[in-house]
Amino acid sequence: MLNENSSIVSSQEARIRYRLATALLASWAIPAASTHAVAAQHDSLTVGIAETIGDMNPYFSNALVTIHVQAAARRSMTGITKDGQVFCRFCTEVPTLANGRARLVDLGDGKQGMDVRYTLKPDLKWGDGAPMTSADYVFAFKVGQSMSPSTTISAVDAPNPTDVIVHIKTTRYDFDRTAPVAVPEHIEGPIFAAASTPVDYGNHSEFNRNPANPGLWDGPYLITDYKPGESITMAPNPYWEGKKPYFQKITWRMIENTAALQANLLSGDIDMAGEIGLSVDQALDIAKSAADRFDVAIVPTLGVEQLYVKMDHPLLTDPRVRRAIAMAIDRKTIVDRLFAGKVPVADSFITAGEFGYDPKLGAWPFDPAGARALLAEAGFKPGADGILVSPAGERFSIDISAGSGNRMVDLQEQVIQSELKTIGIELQIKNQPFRVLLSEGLRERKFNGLALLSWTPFPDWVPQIRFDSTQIPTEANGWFGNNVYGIADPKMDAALKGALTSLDPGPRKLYWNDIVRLAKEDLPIIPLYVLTTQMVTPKWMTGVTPPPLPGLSTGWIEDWAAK
Amino acid sequence: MSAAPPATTVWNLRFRRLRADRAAMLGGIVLILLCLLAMGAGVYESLAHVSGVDTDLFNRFAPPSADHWLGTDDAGRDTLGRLLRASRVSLAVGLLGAVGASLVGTLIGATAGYVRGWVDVVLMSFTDFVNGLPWLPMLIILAALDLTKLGFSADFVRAGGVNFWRIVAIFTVLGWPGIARLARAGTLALAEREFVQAARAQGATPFRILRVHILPNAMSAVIVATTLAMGRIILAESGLSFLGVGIQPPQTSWGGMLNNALDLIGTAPMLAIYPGLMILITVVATNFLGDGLQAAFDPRRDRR
Amino acid sequence: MLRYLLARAGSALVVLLAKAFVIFALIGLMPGDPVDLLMTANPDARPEDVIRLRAIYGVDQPILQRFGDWLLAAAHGDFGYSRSLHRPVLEIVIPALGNTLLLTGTAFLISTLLAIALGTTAAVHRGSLLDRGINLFAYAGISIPSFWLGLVLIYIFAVRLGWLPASGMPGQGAAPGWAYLVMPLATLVIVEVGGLARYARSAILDVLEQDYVRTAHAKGLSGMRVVLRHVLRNGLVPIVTIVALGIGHLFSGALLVEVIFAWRGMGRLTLEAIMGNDYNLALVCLLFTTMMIILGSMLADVAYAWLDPRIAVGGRRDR
Repeated sequence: MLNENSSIVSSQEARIRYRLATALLASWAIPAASTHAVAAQHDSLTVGIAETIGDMNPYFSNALVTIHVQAAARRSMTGITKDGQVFCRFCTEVPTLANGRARLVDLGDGKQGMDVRYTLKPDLKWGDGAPMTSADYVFAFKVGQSMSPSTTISAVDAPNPTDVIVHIKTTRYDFDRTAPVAVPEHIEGPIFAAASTPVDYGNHSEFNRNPANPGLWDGPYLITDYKPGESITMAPNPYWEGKKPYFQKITWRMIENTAALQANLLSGDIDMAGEIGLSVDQALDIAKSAADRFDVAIVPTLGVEQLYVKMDHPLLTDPRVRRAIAMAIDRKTIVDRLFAGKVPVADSFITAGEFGYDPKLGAWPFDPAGARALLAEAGFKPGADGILVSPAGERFSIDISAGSGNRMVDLQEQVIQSELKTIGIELQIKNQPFRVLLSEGLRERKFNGLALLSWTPFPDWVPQIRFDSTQIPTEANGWFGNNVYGIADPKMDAALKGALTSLDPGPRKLYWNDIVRLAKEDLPIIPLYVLTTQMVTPKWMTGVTPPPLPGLSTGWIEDWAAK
Repeated sequence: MSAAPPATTVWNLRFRRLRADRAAMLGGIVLILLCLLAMGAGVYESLAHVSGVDTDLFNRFAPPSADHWLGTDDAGRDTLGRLLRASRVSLAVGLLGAVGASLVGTLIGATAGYVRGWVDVVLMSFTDFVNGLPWLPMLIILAALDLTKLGFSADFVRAGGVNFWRIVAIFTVLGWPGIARLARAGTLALAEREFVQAARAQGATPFRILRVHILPNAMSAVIVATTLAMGRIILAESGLSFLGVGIQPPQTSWGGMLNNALDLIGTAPMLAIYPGLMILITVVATNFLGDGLQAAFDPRRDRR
Repeated sequence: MLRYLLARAGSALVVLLAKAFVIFALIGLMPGDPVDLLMTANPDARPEDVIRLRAIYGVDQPILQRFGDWLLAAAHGDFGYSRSLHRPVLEIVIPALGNTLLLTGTAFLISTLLAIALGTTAAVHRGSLLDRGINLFAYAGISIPSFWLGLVLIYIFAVRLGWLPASGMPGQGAAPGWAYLVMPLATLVIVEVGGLARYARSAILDVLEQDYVRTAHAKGLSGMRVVLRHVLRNGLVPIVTIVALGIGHLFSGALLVEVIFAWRGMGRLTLEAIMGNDYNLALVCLLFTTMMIILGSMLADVAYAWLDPRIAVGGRRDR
């Protein structure tokens, strides 16, 4: 500004700035205008989800958000409750050895397999009225095999239109959940037959070309409108044999930014935010500020937020060192302070209530003095700057990696960084975009010490691909496997194999006891706390039950209703 | 015989005019103050016995008090301390990025504008080429590049500074094409002027013409662009933080603090007001200064 | 002039091709490939599957060959399928282009007109309260990050007042179509107009001080006529440069605004394509943006030469 009266300008500007700030702050004090009068009839529902759905074909996308939304329209032969109880959706009874539907089969060479027979309920139909038959299950398996041959199932037969027989290659405790999820053969069959490669099939599959085709869906809802990247609209499926759903229209709106999602919830533009939605902080905020409009449930899941430990890092090879790190982290305070205590502390990589969980085992206690003692015992001495020096003369400086851009994760990393500093370990935070972390940091095992991640298993799932010594990704095997920690313990391998193949719960439990005990001693991972999902529902809604797994609340969507 | 009056060079004239412009002086002083404050972050922290880095989960969201002048944030860190540390990063990124882009851009643009012909076409094509390079893939690649393979020492790579320099590099690369265009436009407009033709007639080398006659006068638009660029870079960095590819913890910038405060808009709006205010002050100050510089360097003023 | 245009068009084509390859290579340089992401999600996968899938997706071929294949197909109008969405790329890109244009085009138009008006007013009434007020507004606008402004607007107008829908595309809810445009548009205009207005103001100021303007005043021409006839024509020169360059960025989309307002535009699409290693989609998105930028800078050159006849396009006349 080319003038002489700068002093007036600057004080004017200061006054305006002050007024702007006050006005902004005052707007928070204005109570929210109730321009959203509660509708008398709630027969439609709008759900906000914090991720965009890309591919709708189940063979190409296992994104949780896609499974979540599609679970309202697509069901499997059997389902599983939070307690690990299997129940039938489309079958007449759950196969067991006792009722003869599951049989042990001698495969020769001393190997044993299993045959499992499911019988479909009568008169099942797809959303376009076409009958659902065993051919749909055989087809589903065939498509899966063309992409990535199954390691557990050798074949799926259909001796008649209502029976599906699954041939398993070994004995497995989870034989009763092995039926593939049906894909309509009358719609996708011709497309698959005409395709030259799996990618070609994907490009022409009705799942992506026309998701509103009712024949694709067999659940309580059909997709009626699909706006890619924006929203999916559903209406009840007239051919659904189970309980009739309440809502006549459900719209799923994709709003990636969680702050914007929260705003949409508060403004009434969306009615509820489910598992793929808000963070704990946001849920707690809504519980405080809008308790009269929303019910907030912070539900523990089967997942555990944990520190992945690179066991072959030169500074981390000694188990006492790993134990010291576990003992230096005050998990209870993190949970109390960051999550208002609403999140349970985790003792192990599986949660209480899981079959394999051992309540007597517990985790390493928070004991910084004990941690320091352990490190001293392992030969580490404090250096000039307070950071420990190894017996080999190396300064104890390692990295912690995580997916970048997540405030809560950043926060936890910084807390852990502070805590490790008190026992003389320097932790450097090295965050990267998640996909970079996944491919380089994890898959190629380039993470340099610790990584803050979470793992959510299926109920009663044996972590063979995580802890078995044959599953370590190396350059030689093309970076294949999920044992990024590098644990190679023959006792662990034996326990994993035992748990996988035992059909009796007695011996299986003993193997599980070994697995969790070895995990605690070897510390390939340091458990922190149990992952929660936040379900924020309007007060006029009922029937929303916490899911056994995050994302599967929609498996019971026919129970959702308005009061 | 009285002594001849002391010779007044063009630059003396310019700086005298600048000093007389109170708004510009204010802008300059504010910027210097901010830089001093930012550099004094560590001093403040040790004097006040607080930390802008160490977390304290027992003291989250504390209101302003004698111990914590601006309260604490969502990790229990002293807000003022964190703000000062963020200032260091933001100001540095803004300054280095803007100056870097300016230097490279002026060099290329002025050359293209003066020499013309095929040199112009080649340089401008190169400018166009760089102009449209996609910044996000470049940033991700830079983020994932193994710098030890390029010869940087392992210690440098592991230090937190690498991420900072990556971001400065990105802004330099993204910024110089725009500056180059302006420098070229300014040079083009002046190359035909009488005083340039006169200098050429007198036998001045192109370099001297550029340095003495054209550049100082073509710089108006470049200066405005550079000062605006500083503010824009600070804002752009906040965009990078929003997308998760900005300055990584435990370092932070004003943009990072703003991004952090997005989720907290309901619980602690002040955590966003402070960095937002700092950005506003900085942008206004740089613009005051830029305006003053532009007016001071205005060749038309020289004639009077 | 024509020779210059042809030369520029030719060089533009070369640049475009070179850029296509560079972008192709850049995406390839990004860590992780599509098969990686697939494998991580599937706990049953085996090493042989990795090899097979790599062959199926063609990521095991050298980059020059892959680029050549793409170029050949593109020349026939076949831009392939999106790897992550399994739909034809054009089918995905064109609606997104429309959405982005609706938003950024309108914002650009409003910003430019508003900026010229504000800038000219400020310059003509230089030093007055009006001038200072406009400057202040400009500063405030260019100091706020767009995503923050967007969120604050959402909180004020959707959450607190309930006047507008919080986010989304027209047609998603009960509100009329234009209601979904208001806040994103306002956000874009507020952050853009400030910078443009200041450029306009400084450009007009430069012109106002010229001798020929004073001559026009001395001759008795009214203020308005002076402004329109003499000032704008010359003052617009640097403004046109900025504006033409801005056209080039129209389709890059306003990424941050699109994310906050859940607007299905090019910005978001490009981001997702890049982060998902989706070659075909990312390439088309980025190339389109590149093309527009090149076009914009060509437009700037042409407009500049047309407006200022002193610039002999293509070389000095006295050589």
